[in-house]
Amino acid sequence: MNKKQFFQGIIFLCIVFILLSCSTYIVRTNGEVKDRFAGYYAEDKNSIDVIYVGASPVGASFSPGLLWHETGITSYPLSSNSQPTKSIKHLVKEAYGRQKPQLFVIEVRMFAEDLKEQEEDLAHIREVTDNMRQSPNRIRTINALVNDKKERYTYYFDIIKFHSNWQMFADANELKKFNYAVKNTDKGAVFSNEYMELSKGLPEIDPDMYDYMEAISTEQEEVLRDLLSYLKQNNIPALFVATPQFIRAHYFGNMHYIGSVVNEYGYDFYDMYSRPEDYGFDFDRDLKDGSHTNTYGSYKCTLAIADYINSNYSIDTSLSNESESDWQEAYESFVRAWEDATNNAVYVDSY
Amino acid sequence: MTTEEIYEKLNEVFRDVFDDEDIEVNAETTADDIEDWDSLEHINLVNAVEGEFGIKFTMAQLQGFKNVGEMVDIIKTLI
Amino acid sequence: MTITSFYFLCFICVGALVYYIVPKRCQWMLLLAMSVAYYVLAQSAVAIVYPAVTIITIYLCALGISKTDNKKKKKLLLYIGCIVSVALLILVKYIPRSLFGLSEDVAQSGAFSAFMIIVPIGISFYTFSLLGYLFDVYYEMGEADTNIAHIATFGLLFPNMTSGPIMRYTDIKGTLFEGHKFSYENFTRGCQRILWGFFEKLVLAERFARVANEIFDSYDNYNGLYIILGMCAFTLQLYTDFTGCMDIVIGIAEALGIKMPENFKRPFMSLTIQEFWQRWHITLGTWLKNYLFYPLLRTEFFMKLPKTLKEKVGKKAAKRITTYLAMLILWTVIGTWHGGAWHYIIGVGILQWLFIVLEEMMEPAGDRLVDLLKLKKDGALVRTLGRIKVFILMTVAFAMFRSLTVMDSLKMMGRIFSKEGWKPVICEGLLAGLEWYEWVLMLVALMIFITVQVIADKNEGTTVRALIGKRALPVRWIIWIGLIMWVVLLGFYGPGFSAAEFIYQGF
Repeated sequence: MNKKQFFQGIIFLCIVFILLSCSTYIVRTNGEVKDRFAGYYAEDKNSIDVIYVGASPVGASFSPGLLWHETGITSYPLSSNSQPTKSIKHLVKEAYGRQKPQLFVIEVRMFAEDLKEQEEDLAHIREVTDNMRQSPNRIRTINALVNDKKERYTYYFDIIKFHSNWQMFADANELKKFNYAVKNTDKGAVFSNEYMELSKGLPEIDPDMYDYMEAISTEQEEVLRDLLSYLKQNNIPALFVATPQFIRAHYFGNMHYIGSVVNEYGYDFYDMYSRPEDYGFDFDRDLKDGSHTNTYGSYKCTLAIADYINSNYSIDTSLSNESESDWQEAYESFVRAWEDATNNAVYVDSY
Repeated sequence: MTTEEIYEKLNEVFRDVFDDEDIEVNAETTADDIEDWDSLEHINLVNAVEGEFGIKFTMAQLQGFKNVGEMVDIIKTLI
Repeated sequence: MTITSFYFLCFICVGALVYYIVPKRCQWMLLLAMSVAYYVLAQSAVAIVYPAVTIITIYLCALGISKTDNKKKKKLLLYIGCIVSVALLILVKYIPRSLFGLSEDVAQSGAFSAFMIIVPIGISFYTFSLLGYLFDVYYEMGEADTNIAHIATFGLLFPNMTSGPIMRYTDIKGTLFEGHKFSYENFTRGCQRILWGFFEKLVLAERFARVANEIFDSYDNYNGLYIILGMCAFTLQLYTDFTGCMDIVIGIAEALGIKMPENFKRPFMSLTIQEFWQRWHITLGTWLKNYLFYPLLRTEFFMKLPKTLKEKVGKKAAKRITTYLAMLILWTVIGTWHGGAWHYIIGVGILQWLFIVLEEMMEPAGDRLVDLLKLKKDGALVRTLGRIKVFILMTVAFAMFRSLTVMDSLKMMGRIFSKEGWKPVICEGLLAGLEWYEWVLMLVALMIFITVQVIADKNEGTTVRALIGKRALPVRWIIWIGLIMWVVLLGFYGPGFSAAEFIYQGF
């Protein structure tokens, strides 16, 4: 084999590799999480001050457009549905790949759920790994989340799973994602004009319950402590938060317990779950279902966390070089969603 | 037996086996040259040649010859 | 570890890399190591005992035959070698496990029972390859090899192990054991052939399988055109599946510089059933001709038979009856090789014999008809009709092969003529197992496949890959990169698709 053939071969393989890479990104199942992550990678480098991590309530409860308008702070969620707790650490690492966040806001509710279920929930593990760009960190994330070693290759090369979505090539929106970077107008937030009236079903809250602690599972606590040690060792600033949802007594205990563990490592825990009345939360207007806020709820939560961040952290907004027009558009989109939630509110029966 | 005599006898065998009075074989004739000479007829041909010359081919020999010339060489060693 | 699986691809990539790094005289040893590794990974360490027993037996018998001059001893050793090998084959393939009173659950059985339940991969193929070697030594058509490692490499050689091609030792030992320097042309041509095999298997065969499975497994729901469609789909499935497997196997060998025998030669271009079987599973046909058919016709019985019959029916008929009888035995064996059930023995056995015999007997009538219609015997029309005839006959035979029983296949085919009409059957948005756009994809892929076959047919001396190789670089790259993307995006593989197991692997 002579030199010419060798280089020809290398270039051929490179072209194939690039085409496969782009195809991988295009055929990944479309949806709000893909749009969110593709939007994340489209943001300019060093333009995001705050990164949220956690499960679906993150996208529903916080509007980066509104937050920016109120405080000048840019933020972006790296959240996915039923996000496995083990992935949080890796998503924090992922964020440092393109951004220099001054604060991580970590939603904690998945720590109160069963760890084994999360480890076997391949669909939601994939929702994290199949939305990351190809990189060494992605491989490490897959190794950490996928216990079955023999199946890992279908995660490394997720085109093996999604190639049957080849119809995406006919969708202009998905074609644009060939590099997994398409700007997301709402900066990853989701809005809803639906609401439920849930105040009648709320349990009686005993004053003692505000101090009540119920331990989470030992396995989950291990994961939490591992995350906290990692953050502390690397001096990573983080704020842990519990977003509002329909109140359950044992959850109360879990949230307080998580808060105490978080505090042990010197980190703050903002409990928006236990006393939602503190920021004017209305169980008859602000929830679209038992676990997620709607646009009204997002308005309240975003303002609440804006307040908390301003009071407890000093974020230097001049460090991030965002495009003003982009964020203005995000805010205006939020306003339109809010108006929609007001004028076209859809009542949903709480069963 | 001379080579010419061998070929004379062979022509008779070929004409008989393939039912064609016009066949004339030479050293270069192969199975491609005669229409019905396929793997089935090959054995019949070999059996007929054996009968005509009073010889017996080994399995290696009957599968080994690529043209009539090679077959004649084998016949010569067996007569 | 099927040969279209991710891990197998990794296996051959690493293997090929190491192959060209080790000294040339060690390359065949690496093949042996890889073959053993493949067997253990694809099945189990226990299963390798089967081929090991056959290999050792054949090696010793062949060596013994070559060292003695005693004809009786030679025959005895031949018998021993045959009996041991064939007995293992029969034990594994044709005797139901239940006869041993064993539980079907391997996990629950003890070690011995587990051993008895295993069906070693490729037993029919490696047994035949090794027996061929033994016969060659006995008939002095080849030399015995004193190195058992050589025989082991030959017997275990992956990737032939799964479904062939069946190799002939004398033909392959040169290319198998000599060292191979890296050749850019061999390597790329080999890779291209592997890619084509993947296309045939994952893009074509798997799609045809959907349709075939849908129709064959629930033929009560279908009539008329659908039954025909299903049968045609199975024929195409079987063909693309098997030839795809062969292309991958031969392609791997080519990339390593080893020349494997061809197993297919565009069989559906054949004009007669006789010709079909000279172009389909060629190495099996050659093996049977060399080691069964010819020896059979050279036995006393068959050599005397024409003479005995000559008086009663004339010379020509006597010859014919002898040949037909030998063929009947041959075809019964072929049918049985595929499986011990009647639908195998008849479908790809006795029925084929019947087709060939009828074809031969009706040849003069056919010729007269062609003359009567003033058609050209070698003309396009006659040739096309011949090909259609072959396709129809083989589709009927393969339908029997695919069905559970002979009766089942007849019942299914009977529905072609059902009075219930030929209404379309759409179930859950699927027309006979596939969405409408999958049908389009399947037909487009089939068109490409047929085009490639036609081009290959018109350029006998070379290969389509070589023809592409002559084109300008952008054209070549568009073709190969396009084919890669086609297989990756439109192939049926991965989680969510049924496991891609080759049909012939169970044989």
